[in-house]
Amino acid sequence: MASDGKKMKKVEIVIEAMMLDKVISIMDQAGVSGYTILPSVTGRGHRGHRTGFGFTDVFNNAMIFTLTDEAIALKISQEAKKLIQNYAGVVIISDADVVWPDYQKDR
Amino acid sequence: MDANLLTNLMTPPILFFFFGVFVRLIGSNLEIPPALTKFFSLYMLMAIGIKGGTAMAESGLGQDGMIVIGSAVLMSMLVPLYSYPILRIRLKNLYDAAAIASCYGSVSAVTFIAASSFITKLGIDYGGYMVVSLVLMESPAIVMAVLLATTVRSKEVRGTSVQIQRKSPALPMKKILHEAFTDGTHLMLIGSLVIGAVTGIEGKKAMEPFTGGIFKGMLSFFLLDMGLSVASRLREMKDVGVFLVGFGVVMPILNGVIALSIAYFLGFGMGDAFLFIILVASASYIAVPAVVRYAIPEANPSLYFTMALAVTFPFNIIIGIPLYYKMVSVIWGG
Repeated sequence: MASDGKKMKKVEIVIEAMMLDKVISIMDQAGVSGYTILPSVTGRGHRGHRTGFGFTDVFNNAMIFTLTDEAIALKISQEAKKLIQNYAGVVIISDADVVWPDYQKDR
Repeated sequence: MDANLLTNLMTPPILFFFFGVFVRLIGSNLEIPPALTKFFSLYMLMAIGIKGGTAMAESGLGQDGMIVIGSAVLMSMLVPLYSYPILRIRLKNLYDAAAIASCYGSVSAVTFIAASSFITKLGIDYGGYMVVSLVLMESPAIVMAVLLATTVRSKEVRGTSVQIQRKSPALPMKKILHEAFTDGTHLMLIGSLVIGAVTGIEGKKAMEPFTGGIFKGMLSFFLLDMGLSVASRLREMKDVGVFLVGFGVVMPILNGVIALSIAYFLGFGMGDAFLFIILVASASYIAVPAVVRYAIPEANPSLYFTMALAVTFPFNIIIGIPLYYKMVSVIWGG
């Protein structure tokens, strides 16, 4: 697909809801300029059904994604990988065409 | 005062619990949105906190209260200590043993609420300090579990146990205590208790329609939700296994008998003794799993959560409450 967008890396992390703050601080420390959070996602993985419960966050997952350069993306994934040794989660890095990469400059 | 099994079972809240289990098992689309579940559990904690706080304001703590509270805190430390070696008999993952031990040392607020409604209906009084005991029993169990888990970790480092290779460093105790004391459900109960104690009889009047009048209806809704949750955890039961399911049933009885002996020798009143047994016999599936997930990440939450919620909670509600009451009424002559 042809695109005139800027090539960036998309880092997507699904993590146990209670560890979301930790992932956010990993991202902040790595130097991302922003992120998007889906506070409640459900699914199934090697830790069984993550179906979500109202009265405990133990079985709830959250998802966070950010667009960044490769170096930062790798830094985040290395830190996040340590986290998912003990907690449910997935870390994905993919290529992304960002249609409007300079929006901050344009404002 | 006749309290047979049916006295407890044939009340709307308990029947709604069974209804919830039934509804989930037949695959109905009846759902309660998670945000509402959270609201119901916070409401329950507020109501029980206000009730306990205002009762304390009326009657004070007194020496009896201090003895009950002291015994409760002691039991929340002792239960994990003797549960752990029992669990070690069959569990290979010792972190699971520590986490489960912690849940059983702690308490279930909903079981306490159901039990207090049960004796209130029978016209038996209990001290407001029972709610203080409920509050204070949460954290010691967590601390004991963390200490047990720390022992397991240090053994692993020395290479005596290599079955689990987890690399993330353990959280410092200070951080774990912070998690335990700032846990939302825990704070909600403490806050309501303090507000109840400070405002006393006036506060009770002001809150009455909310924490008293609609309480049974709200409890019914909450137990319906609990029934739905319990039924949806039943598929995890095969992972839990026969030993742990057995533990989830036998442990409340053992804990209950030990609590009964303590209550008897220390001369508790009948209502206090009954609720003390309920506190010691119940297991936590809200506050403790939330903190233990941080503190002992190596333990599998499916085990400790499912045992406390889907085995011990229904056992205590269906069989435990009338059974413990029977034991107490035989000894106290109610």
